[in-house]
Amino acid sequence: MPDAPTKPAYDASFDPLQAFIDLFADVTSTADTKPDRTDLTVEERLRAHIIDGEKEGLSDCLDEAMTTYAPLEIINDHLLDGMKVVGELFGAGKMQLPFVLQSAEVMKRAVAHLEPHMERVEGQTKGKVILATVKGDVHDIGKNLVDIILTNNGYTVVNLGIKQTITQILAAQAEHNADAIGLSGLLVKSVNVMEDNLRELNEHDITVPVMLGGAALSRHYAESYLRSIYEGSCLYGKDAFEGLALMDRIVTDDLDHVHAEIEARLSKRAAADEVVAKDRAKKSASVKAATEAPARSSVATDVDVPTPPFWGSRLVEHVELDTVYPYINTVALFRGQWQFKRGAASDEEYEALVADEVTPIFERLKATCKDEQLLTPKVVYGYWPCQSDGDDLLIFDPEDHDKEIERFTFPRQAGRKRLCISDFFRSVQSGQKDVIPMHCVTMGPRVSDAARRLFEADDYTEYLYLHGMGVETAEALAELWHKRIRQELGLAGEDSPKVRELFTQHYRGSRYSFGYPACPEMSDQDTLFRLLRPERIGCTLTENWQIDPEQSTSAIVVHHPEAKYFNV
Amino acid sequence: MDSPFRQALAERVIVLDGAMGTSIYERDLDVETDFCGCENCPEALLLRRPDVIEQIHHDFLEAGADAVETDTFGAMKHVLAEFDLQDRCFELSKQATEIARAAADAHSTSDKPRFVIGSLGPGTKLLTLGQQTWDVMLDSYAEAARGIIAGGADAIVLETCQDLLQIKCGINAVLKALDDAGRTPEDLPILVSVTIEQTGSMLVGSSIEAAAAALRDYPITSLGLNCATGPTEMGEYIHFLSRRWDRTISVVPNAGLPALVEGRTEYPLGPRDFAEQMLAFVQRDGVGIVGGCCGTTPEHIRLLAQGVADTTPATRKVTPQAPSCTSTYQPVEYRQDQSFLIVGERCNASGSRKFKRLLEEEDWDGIVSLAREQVRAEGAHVLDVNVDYAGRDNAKDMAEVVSRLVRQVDAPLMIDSTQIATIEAGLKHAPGKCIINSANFEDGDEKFDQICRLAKTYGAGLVIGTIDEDPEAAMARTADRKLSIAERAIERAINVHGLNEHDIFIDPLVLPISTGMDQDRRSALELVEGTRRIAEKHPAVQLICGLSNVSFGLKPVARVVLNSVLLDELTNAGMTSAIVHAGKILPLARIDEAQRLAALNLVYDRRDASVGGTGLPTHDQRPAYAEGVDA
Repeated sequence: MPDAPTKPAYDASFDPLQAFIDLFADVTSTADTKPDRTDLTVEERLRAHIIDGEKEGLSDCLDEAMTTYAPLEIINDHLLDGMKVVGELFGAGKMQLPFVLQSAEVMKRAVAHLEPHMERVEGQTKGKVILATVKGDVHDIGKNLVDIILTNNGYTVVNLGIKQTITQILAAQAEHNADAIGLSGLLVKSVNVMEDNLRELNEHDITVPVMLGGAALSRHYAESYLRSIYEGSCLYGKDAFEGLALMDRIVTDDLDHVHAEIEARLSKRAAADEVVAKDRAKKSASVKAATEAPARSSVATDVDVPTPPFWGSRLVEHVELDTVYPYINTVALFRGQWQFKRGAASDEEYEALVADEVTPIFERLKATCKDEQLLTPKVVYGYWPCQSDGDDLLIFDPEDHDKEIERFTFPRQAGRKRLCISDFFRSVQSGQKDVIPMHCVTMGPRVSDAARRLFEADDYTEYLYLHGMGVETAEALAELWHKRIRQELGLAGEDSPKVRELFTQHYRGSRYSFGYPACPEMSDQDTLFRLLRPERIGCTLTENWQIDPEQSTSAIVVHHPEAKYFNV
Repeated sequence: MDSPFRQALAERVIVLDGAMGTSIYERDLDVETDFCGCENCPEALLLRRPDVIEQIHHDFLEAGADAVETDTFGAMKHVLAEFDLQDRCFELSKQATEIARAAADAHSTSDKPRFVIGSLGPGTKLLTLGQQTWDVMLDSYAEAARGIIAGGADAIVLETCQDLLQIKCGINAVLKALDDAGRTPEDLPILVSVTIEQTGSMLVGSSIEAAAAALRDYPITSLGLNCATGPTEMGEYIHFLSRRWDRTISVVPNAGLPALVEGRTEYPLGPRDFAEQMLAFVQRDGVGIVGGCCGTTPEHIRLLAQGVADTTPATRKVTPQAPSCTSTYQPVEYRQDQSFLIVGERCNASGSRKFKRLLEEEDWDGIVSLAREQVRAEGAHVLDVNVDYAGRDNAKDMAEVVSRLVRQVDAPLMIDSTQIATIEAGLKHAPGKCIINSANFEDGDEKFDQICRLAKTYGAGLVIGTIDEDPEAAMARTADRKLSIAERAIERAINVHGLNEHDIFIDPLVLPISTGMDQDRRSALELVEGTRRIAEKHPAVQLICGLSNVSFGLKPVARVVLNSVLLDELTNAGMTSAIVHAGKILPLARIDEAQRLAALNLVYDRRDASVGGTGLPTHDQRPAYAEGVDA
C-alpha cells in the first residue's frame, strides 16, 4: 500500500490523471523489485556465494568476513553451511549437478583465498580418506565427485585414481593411516573385485570403515552380503553427499546410528522378500505344470541371411566428427552424464534449462572437441560367416567358410522364452551359414588426457562435461556404425527416420556388448579382439577386459528381426 | 495456364535423374583437354566435351528418369568468375539447357513426356555471412536464369540451398529473368530444395521449420531436400513437410552418408536399398518429386522409376504452419499462447539512450549484447531495430546492425525506419522472415505502395500505422478513423500487392494521455475501442502498438503501471502484439490494486461528464486510500 496520498474528491473537479500522479508521489519502485544482495549480512552473503556458485565479489566478501571471523570459522560455520544447503537441494532434486560443481569451485576458491591467512596447525582437517576405483575398472567420474565434495567439506582426500589393486590400496593405508577407505566401480565385475578386496583387508587385519559406491553396486547387495564379509564397518554411499554424511559419522565415531538404519532396512526387505518368494513359488509351480521348458527359444529359423559387402575386417581411419555428433543421445548426455536432472521442474522449466544452459555448453564442447582434435573417431569392423550349435556360436574363417576359427558360448534364459544369442543365427543342422558383424570404435586417448588435466586443475565442471562428452560420443559412433552395417547388409529400410528412436532399438536386429545381461562374459572380448584386431586403432584390453582408452566400445551385431535386449 | 510440368506433377510422382557431379568425376577426364584447365568446373565441360554431358543425360533418361537437371549448377556469373568464364554465363547456361532439352525430347513419348529442369546451386559464397552482396548475387543468378529460360527449360530448381537469404535472392533473380522473358512462375515453375546438414539445420543454421515459414509466401511450386545425407536422415524433415507444407515436396538424397573406408570415399546405399527407402517417402509422406544426389547412379534411378510406377502415393493431410516470422534459425508464431507477441523496443536510436550511444561509438558487440539481453532476460519474441539518427548513414548502420543480429541473436527482426532505403538495407541482410515497421498513407499511396513491394520482394510481414494524408487530422485519434484507415490499408495491401492478410500488422497508434490537455484525454479509450473494432472486423489481421508512448512524461514507476494496465485492456480488446521494454511490463497480479484502479480511471477518462469525461468512477472503481474521509 502506498504512503497515504490524499484521497481525491470525486466531483466535477476530479482529474484521474492528477489522482494517478498523486498516488505515485512517494513511490520509487514497484512491488516487483529484486532484493539486493548488498542488503544481506556478510554471513548471509558468504552462504549465498556458495549456494549460487557466484565467484564475482567473493574475494571482497571474504576479506570483509575476515575482519570479524577467523578464516577457519568462516569455512566451518558459514561456507560449509552453504555447502550443506547445496547438498540438501541436490538430494531433493532441486539443484543440478553442474551447479553443485560450480558451488564446489567457489568453495575451493574461497578456501584458497583464506589459506594464506590460516595458522598451520594440526587438526585443520576433519579427517582423512583414501579413494580408489578398483582393479580393472577405468571409470572414475563418481569417485572424483566424492573427492570434490569431501575435500571442500574439510576432509583430506588421498585419491589413488583408477585400476587400483588391493596391494596399492593397502600400501596407501599403511602410509596415510586414513580414517576410511572408499572403493568405487562401474562394472558388474567390479562388485566381485570389491568382495575380494574386503577379504584381503580382513586378511591384513585392517578394520577401518570402508565405503562402497558406484553404478555397479546396489544398496541391498552392499549392505547385506558385502557388509557381512568385512570385519570392520562396510557402508554404502549412493552419491557424494551420502559419502559426506558417512564421513561425518565415521570421524565422530558415531556409526551405531548408521548401522541401526541399515539393520532396519534389511529387516524390512527380508519381510518383503518373503512375500515375493511365496508368490513366485506359487506361480512357477503352475507354469511348470503347464509346460516343460523347451531346450531352445522359438525365434524364427528361416530369416533371410543378408549378404555382406566383404568378409573379414576393415579399418576406418577417419570419420568426420560432424557425422558422429548427430547420433549423440542428448538425454543420456544431459541427464545421465552431466546430471542435469529434471527433479521437480516442470516440462517448461526443464526445456528452458536445456535451451539456456545445457545446449550452449553442448555446442561449445562440440566445437572445442573438433577444433582441438580431442575426439578422433576410428573404427574397425567386419563380417564373419557363422553358425549356431546349441548355446555356442561358431565363427568361420572369412576366406575358408568351412574352417572354424573361434567360438562364443552364450548363456540361455532359464525360464521365460529360453532366449540365447546363438538362437538368432542359422544352426549347424540347417547346413546354411549365417553372418555376424562386429565392431570396435574409439574416440582416441586425447579426450581422457584432457579430462584428467581439467580435474587436476580443479576445473570440475569442465571435467564432468568433457568426460561425459567423450563417453557419449563413443556411444554415438557405435550407433552410427551399427547403422552403417545395416545399410551395408541392406537392412536399413526398417530404421526409424528419427535418430533419437535409434537409441531405443527402432531398427532391425540388435547390438550386444560383452558385460551386458545377454552376454555377460567379459573374457569374450579376447575373442572379439583376435577377430577385429582393434590394436590398429590404438585399442588394447586391460586385465579385466576393459578397453583402453576408456572412450571406446565394442559389440557384436545381430541381424535377426527378433533380436532385442534381454536378460538372462 | 499451368505448364505441362505442373500438370504432370498434379497427376503423378516425378522421378528426377541421379548425380551429375559424381557421374562426371567417375569418367576419367583430363583437366587440361576436357575441362579447359578449369578444375572443378563442370560447366567448363560444355566448351569442348558437351558429349559427356549429353551421355549422362541419356543414361538417366534411359534408366527411366522423367526429368533431367541441366549442367548449370555453378553457372551463375559470380561462380564462373572463379574460372574467368563470367562473360559466358548466359551462353553456357543456354547451351547446357539445350543439350538437356535435346536429350529429353529424344526420349519423350506422349505417354511419358520428359522434362528439363534448370539447376542453380548455392554458389560458393554465403550471403548471410557477408561473403557476397545481395545485388551482385541477384544479378548473377538472373543472368544464369535467362540462359536457362532461353535454352528451353520446363522448370528451374534452386538446389542444395544452405542459406535462406540466398534462396530469397535466387527466387527474386529467377522472377526477374522470367519477367524479362515475358514468362511467369505458373508456366515455368520455380522449385526450391534446401540442404539440411547432419546437424539438423541448414549450413547457416536455419531449421526446416524456419525455411518453410520464410518461403511459404513466395510463388514456388515445391519445397524439399537434397544432398548432405541419405534418405533415412531426411526422414523427419520430409515428414514435417508432409504435414505442414501445402505444395509439392521433393526429396533428392545422397546414397547414404559417405565414409572414408580403406582410403576411398564410399556411399553405402546400393540401388535396391535406396529405391526402397525412397518409395517409403512416396507411400508414407506423399512426396511428389524424387531423385538422387551424390553417389546415385543410373541403376539407382532405374529401380526408383520402376518402383514409383507401382507405388500409390499417400494422400496428405496438410495443416499449414501458423503464420509466423522467423529468425535465421527458428520460426516465431505471430499469435502467442497466453501472451502477446513481445517486440523488444530497446534497439531503437530514438527510443533508447543506451542504443544511441552504442551506435555513436559503433560498439556493435554492445548492440548484440543489448539485443540478447532483451531476448534472454526480458523475454522478447521479436526485436525492433531502428537506427534512424540524423547525421549518420542510416542505411549503412542498418546493414551493420542487422547482419550481426541475424547471426548472433535467435529472434526475428522488425526492421523499423521511416526511410525506404534504410528498410531495404536491413532486409537485404536478413535471412529470416522479418516484419517491416512501417507503412502509412501520410504521403499518399505512392510511398505506401513502395513499402508494400518491399514486403513482397523480401517476404516480410508489414506494420501499417493508421495515419493518412489528411493535413489536419493525419494520425487517427478516434476509433472511427483508426478503423477506416485500417480498412483502406488492408484492402490495398491485399488486393493491389498480394500480401497475406495474416502478414499485416495494424498499428492503431498509441498517443499520450499524460499531457493533461483535453485533446489527449480520450486517446487511450479511443485506442481500446479502435482495437476492438478492427479485431472484430478483421480477425486474421495482427494488431500491434508501441505501448510506452501512452505514459510519456510520467515518472518511471508510474509508467510501468500505466503501460501494463493499458496493455492488459488492449489485449482483452484484441491486440496481438506490442512493442515494449519487455522487462518493464508487469503482470496484473503484481500491480498494487489501488494503482491499477487509478490507472484504469485514467485510461477510460473517468472525469465528470460535465467536463467532457465518461463519468466519475463508481464506488468499485475507486482505489482504497490508507486513511482519510471523503473530502
